[in-house]
Formats: sequence, C-alpha cells, structure tokens
Amino acid sequence: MKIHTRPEIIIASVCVFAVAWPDLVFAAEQASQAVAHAPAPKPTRADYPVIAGMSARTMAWGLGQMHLYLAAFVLAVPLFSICTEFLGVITKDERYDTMSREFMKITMAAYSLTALVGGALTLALFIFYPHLMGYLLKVFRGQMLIYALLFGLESITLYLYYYSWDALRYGNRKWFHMSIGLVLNTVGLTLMFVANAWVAFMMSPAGVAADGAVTGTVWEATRNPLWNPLNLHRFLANIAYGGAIVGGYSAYMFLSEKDPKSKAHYDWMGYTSNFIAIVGFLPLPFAGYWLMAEIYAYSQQMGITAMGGVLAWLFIIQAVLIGTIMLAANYYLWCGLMRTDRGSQYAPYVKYIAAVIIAGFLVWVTPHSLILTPAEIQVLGGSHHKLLGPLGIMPAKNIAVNLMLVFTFLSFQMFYRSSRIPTVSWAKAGNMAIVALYVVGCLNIIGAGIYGYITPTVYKVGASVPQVVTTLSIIIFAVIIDVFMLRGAKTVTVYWGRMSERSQYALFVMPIAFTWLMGLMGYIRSSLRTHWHVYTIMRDNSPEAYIPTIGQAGNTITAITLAFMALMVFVFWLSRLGTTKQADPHQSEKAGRAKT
Amino acid sequence: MITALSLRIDSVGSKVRARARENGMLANRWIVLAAALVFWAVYFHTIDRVVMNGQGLPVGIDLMPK
Repeated sequence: MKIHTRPEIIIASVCVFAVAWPDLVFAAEQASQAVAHAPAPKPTRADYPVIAGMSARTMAWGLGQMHLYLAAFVLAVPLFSICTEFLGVITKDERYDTMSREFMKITMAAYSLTALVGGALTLALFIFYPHLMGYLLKVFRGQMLIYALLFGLESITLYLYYYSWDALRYGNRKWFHMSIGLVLNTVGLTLMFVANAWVAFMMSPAGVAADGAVTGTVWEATRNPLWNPLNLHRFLANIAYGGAIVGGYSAYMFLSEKDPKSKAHYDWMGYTSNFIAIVGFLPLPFAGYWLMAEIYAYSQQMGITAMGGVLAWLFIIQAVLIGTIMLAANYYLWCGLMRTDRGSQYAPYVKYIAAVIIAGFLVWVTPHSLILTPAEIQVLGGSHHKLLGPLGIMPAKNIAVNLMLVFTFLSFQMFYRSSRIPTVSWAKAGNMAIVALYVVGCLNIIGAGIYGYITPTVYKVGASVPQVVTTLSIIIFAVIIDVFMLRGAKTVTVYWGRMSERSQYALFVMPIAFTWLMGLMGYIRSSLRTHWHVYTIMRDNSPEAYIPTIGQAGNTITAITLAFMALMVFVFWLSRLGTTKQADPHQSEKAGRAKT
Repeated sequence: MITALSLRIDSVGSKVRARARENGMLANRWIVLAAALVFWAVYFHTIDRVVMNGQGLPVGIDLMPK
C-alpha cells in the first residue's frame, strides 16, 4: 500500500501547490522584475487585429463559453464518478461501479472536444487580444506553464483512470484505482482554480499598482478578492451541471433502449444523475449570493451595474430558468413515485408541493420596476404596482427561493421514503418531529423575509442569512432523523424502469436550462468589467468595448447553447455507438442453413 | 380542588400512556408534535439571533434592531 501511495502523494502535492509554486520557481526572475516594472499596456484601436471583418469578441465569447461548458462537464463528472465508485465498494453493489464507468465513458468522448475548443480559444485570444494576453502573462508569469503541465497531467490521469477500470476492479487494486481518480480530481480542480484566478483577476485585480505595474507576487494576483467566491460557485455549479448532462444521457439511453434490463439500468442512472444535479444545485444560490456580496464589497459600482441597471432584467430571466430547472427536477421526482407500489400514498401531497414551487416561481419572476408608458404610469399611480411591487424586491425573492429549495428536498424525501417502511417504535413520533421541523422552518423563512420589509436595508440584507441557515437546518435535521428512523426499515421493491417516457423529457429540460443559464450569467459576469479588459487597470479600446444589448447577448447565448446541445447529442450518440455490435452475417447464414 | 385537578391530569396522563403503549409509541403523537414545535421554534429563534449578531447586527430578544 505504501508503494502505491507514494507517487500519488507527490503528484497531489504538485497539484495543490501549483498555484503558489511559480513564486518559488521564478523567485529570481521576480526579483529582477520588481526593480523595473512597467505599467499595463494601453493599446489603441489600431492594435486590435481585424481579420476578414470577423467580430473578435463574438469569436472569443463563443469559443470561451463552449470551452467552459465542456470543461465544466469533464471536470465535474470524475468528481461524482469517484463518489459513486466509492459507494459501490462500500455497498458492494456492482451497479454503482458500472454506472461510474459509464459516466466516465461519456467524459472520454467529450474530453478531446474540450481540448480542441480550448486550443482554439487560446489561439483566438492571442490573435485578437495580444496586448491583454501579454499583460496577463506578465502578471501570472510561470503559472501559465504550470497550467499547461497540469493539463498534460489531467489527460494522463484521465486516460489511466478510465482504461484501468477493469484491470483494477477488485480488492486492493480497486483502492489503487480510486486513488488514481483522486489524483485526477485534484489535478482537475487545481486546473479550474488556476483558470478562475485569471478571470477573477480581470474583475478584481490584485498584486498590481493603479497603473497596472506588477508589484506583487503571482500568489497575490491569484488570491484576488473574487477568486474564492468564484471557485466555490463554479465548483458547485459544475457538479449540478455535470449531473444534469449525464441525466440527459440517461434519458437518451432510456428512450433508445428496448430491453427492460437496460431500461431499468438507465432509469436508475437517470434518478442518480438527477439526485447529483439537485445536491449540487441546492447550495448554489447561496454561493451565488456570496459571490454577489463580494462583488458589491469589492466595488459598489460593479454591484450596481449587475443588479441595479439594465443587466438586472437578466436576473428575471435567470429566475425563469432556475424555476424551470426546479419544476423539471420535481416533476421527475413525482413521476418516480410510480416506481413503487407505496408511491401512490404520497401522490395527494404533490399538488401542495407544486403549488408552493409555482407560487415561488411567480414571485421570483416578478420584476420590481416595470417598463411602462406614461399613460400606464398614470393609471398605476407610479412606476411600481401596489400589490406586485413588494414582490419584486429581495426579501420576497429570498422567501420564494428558500421555500422552493425546501420543497424540492421534500419531493426527494417522499420518493426515498416510498420504498422504505420504518420499523422503529418511535416512527410516528419521528414523523411528527419532521413535520414540526418543516412547519417551524418554513414559518421562520417567511418571518425573516417579512422582517426584511420592516427593518433598515442592512438588516434586510442580513436577514437573508438566517433564511439560508434555516433551509440548510431543515435539510440536515430531516436527513439525520430519517437516517435513525429508517435504520432496519422494511424495504419495498423499487421497479426500476417502471417510469413514464414523458418523465425523461424533464431530464432533457435540465441540461438545456442549465446550459442557457450558465451562458446568461457568464455574460453578466463578463459585462461587469464594462469597458475594461482588467477592471480599472487596463482599458479595452477595441471597437467592441461596450456591453452588448440584451437582445444581441440573448441571440449569441442561444446560438452557443444550441451548438453545445448538438455537440452533446453527438457525444451521447457516440457513446451508444461504442456499445453497438453488428450482427455477424456469417452466423446468420449458418443459422439459415441449419434451418433448411 | 387541586387534588381533583391533579387526579384528572393523572387520569389523562395514564390514558395517553396506555394509548402510546398500544400504538407502540414513546408518547402520544400530538404531544410529540407540540413539544417538537416548541423545540424547533426555540432552535430557529436562537439561530436567528446568533446569525444576526454574528454579522454585527445587534438585535433584541424580539429580534428587532437594538
């Protein structure tokens, strides 16, 4: 075992310290640079190459977004693949292992595309924005070489992890296989953190003087104010996104397969994928909230650009898409109740959960300020509607999103319980404790929201934190009570595959909505820099140094989303093709002869 | 009067205990519900205060700004 772990420790250490490593490697170089540092370049319009009238920004945008989608997917899947593999070892259930391998199979098909698009993006950036890239190279110095090294390491460990699956399947070898997966994930996450540092630096530069001269170390530039909020947000979003994409794959396979055994397998895979997507998604609004709070803390101007100006309308579209994701995830869970004979017992509660989720959705999409004609303003008596106006501000939206999350968890809990009958003597008391937890918790969420209306702004913002803590408390305590209560529970057969076909379309809705949402929010995040390449440090003087209109952005993002989904369908088809075997024509001839 | 009341309470208590034994429960479910409601209310009220104070927002027992 010792022999096995040594190289992994070395590789893992390299990955973990990769971010800070350039400081050591290039210490001498830094010393000389610290003496004579130049300010950030000030390119003129003529310094931006124009090639065949192409829009440089649209090209970089499209390639960057596509690379982000693919990278998010290929980084996320190994993260939960290793978890399901570990579950397979613990539970000794082969299904987990088979599923984990299948998760990785889809990743393998997407990996080369990720590298291809990443290469094209790098080329586009260096061709169209040479001064910016030169400046970033100066700030991050050897870190970009480390990134390239990590990418190579990621490829090696990914191939090793996938192709050694059957060779290292049982006993101690399995643990060795999982440790390869661990190294793969460490490298993958480090890659993401390094890339996030560059993007976050462009928004909240650190380690540089006001004129852009490099004054700090690579680590100082890396650990800029928005780096960690972005890391957390992307980490969670990637898991949710990866879960949603493999959910789409499971639905594709469920609908394609005719064999009941295969259908059962893909139904179970779809359920697990949906679960992964929900687990990643539940804490995501809170991570987003932290990111936004840090943006405000870094620059109030930037925060107001995001949420107080025209971009605020995109948060309404965001609400529509998140509402769609929640409705789809819940609908899938409700359909799942038909997999057990006891599931119908829970059906009467579905309409109440649906009512809460739809009400929350409607509150979330209600805008505060309306675009009105003077005549409409006169009729209304102001720019805000008397009844709907209060629903447009954050306290109401915080109530809505927290209740939607709580009730989404309730849908999952119902499905989980539909296949288990508790046998402990205190089962009824336990149920009452859970009922009380939900009732008081929901009242607390609503109360904290109303509290926001009657207190000053600082308390209004502060009151959203107890709401988050309440939501998390409900989920954690309900899980704890359930774990104890369902110990030794009588299990009921779950008929995997006994699922309506329409439920599978909910699994298709989720990756589409996620992809669109990611593109939309990426546009907001990038637009916050307004006319700066590096906020307040290096000005963007290109002809396209303006925030695109919402219509233009919407069209671009939709086109990228469609292109990505087409690519994903190709990846799914490719994965299916890999398992399709042509019938041997000689054998059928032989069979024909034998008959005659 | 007090003796009669305590006897009455005792009789209700024994009925509840008997019913709980029949149902195989630790206690009557409605009593558990009431106790759980109080418990969670105290828990969330405490958490709210701790979280608000933790953010540097002083609040009174009624959670209103001090």
